[in-house]
Amino acid sequence: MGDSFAVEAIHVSTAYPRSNDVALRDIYLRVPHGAIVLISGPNGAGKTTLLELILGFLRPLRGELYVLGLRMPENARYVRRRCGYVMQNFMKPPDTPYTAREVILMGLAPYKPPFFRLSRRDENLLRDLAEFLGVSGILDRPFGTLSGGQQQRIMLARALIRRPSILLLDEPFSSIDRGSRHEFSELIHSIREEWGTTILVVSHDVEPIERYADIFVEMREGRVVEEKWSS
Amino acid sequence: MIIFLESVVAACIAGLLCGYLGTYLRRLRLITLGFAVAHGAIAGASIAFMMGYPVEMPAFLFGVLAATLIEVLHRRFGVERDVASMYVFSFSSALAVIAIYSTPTILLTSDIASMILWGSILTMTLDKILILCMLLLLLLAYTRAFRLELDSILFDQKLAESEGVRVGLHVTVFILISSASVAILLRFVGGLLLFSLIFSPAIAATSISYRRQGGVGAAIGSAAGIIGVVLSFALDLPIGSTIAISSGMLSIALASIFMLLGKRKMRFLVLQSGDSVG
Repeated sequence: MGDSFAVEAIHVSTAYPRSNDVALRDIYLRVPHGAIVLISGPNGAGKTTLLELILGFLRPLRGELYVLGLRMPENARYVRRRCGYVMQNFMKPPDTPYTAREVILMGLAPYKPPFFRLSRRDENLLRDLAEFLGVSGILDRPFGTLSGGQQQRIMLARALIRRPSILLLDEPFSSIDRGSRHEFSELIHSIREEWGTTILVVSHDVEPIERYADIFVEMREGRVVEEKWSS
Repeated sequence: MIIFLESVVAACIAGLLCGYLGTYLRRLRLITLGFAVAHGAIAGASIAFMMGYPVEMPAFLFGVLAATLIEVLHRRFGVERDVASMYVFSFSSALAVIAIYSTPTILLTSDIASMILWGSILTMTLDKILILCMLLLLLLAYTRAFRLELDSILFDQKLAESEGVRVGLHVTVFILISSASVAILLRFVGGLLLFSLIFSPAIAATSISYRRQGGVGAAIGSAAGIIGVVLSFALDLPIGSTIAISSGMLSIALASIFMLLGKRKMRFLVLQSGDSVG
């Protein structure tokens, strides 16, 4: 398999370790580079499981999975370094001992040598990213004291500082109010436009991101029940 | 006088090491694993003692073995780490009891058995103090060198793993340092009481400091160690128990004071966060 697709799942079935239940069944999905994919479906449909499969946390029991042209989960560590992941449950309590700036810089952890010091290039990247995401004013605040929307943007900045080839967003609208959801969707769109990043968005709420998505995937009971391409 | 000074220096360094290490073990959710490692080390030391060998190396190896067993049960068989730790703790304790029971009576009544169980100031020699210093420096250098990766793990282990951070490697390093520390300190503080020097300062540091928990844990551990040695000499009590009591009391006292002040700290954090959007 070449790397003409960012993600290529060929009839993949998988299950959680030590579970008798199959979590995903016969998934066939091809995601071109630079596409925005909206994955929706009810609770327990397997949406988050699909992201975990892509990141190599789960092993295909049947079928084959390639991410960035690399077979998974054999190349999981390399693929993870080229992905940015914003998890669903990222909210932290107020006494979390890190500032927003520190949380963003943690995204660089796998790439930096021991005794790493922030370079001018890193600082510029952080500044540009903070401006782009509108979080310049909150960088020195304790992460846990930020609102849900602010924490969301900081986590997105953490994912983007890695310059990922693929960005995985798990329920990105769940912790932000209705008014900010469209604004956040525009941000996701501009990330793709700016950097050509492939973006997979898992969301119950399809409305805010619908108009920017290139591929719509509907999941139910661990299966892809519908796949539509935007005209 | 020399013994007293050596003990004070040893207790100070042991407290720094255990207090600092404990804050990482707590935040990595490895407290019960650390507890099981300490008891694995007791089992190793007891078996070595029964066979008439030096106890340090077997204690270290059994500590590592205990941690390995826990990780295998956790990762391969899906047993929760806490449950696996309690299983290994029970098993290690049973092994230690069998070893002590099988030891010839003359040896058992000697001071050596008490050293494993409740510690002795006579066991801390200059070479062991140097090893403790090296372990402390190694731990400080390690946490400084890999600060970004460790912070990432402490912030969210699953997220760190999904970003390609070597979570397993770092956990292994902490287990090895813990096992080595326990093995060296086993005869000084005593296997049954050593864990309080790791655990109590770490818990107190959580209540006291928002950002400098490692340093605070080390400071409390060090102070508790010194107070414990002084009490042991003054009251002619086993050093392990005086260190454990001073560690516990000091930690509870400091944590209580800072818990009361903490409400103020929280209000400050909330005010500092300013207006929230979105």
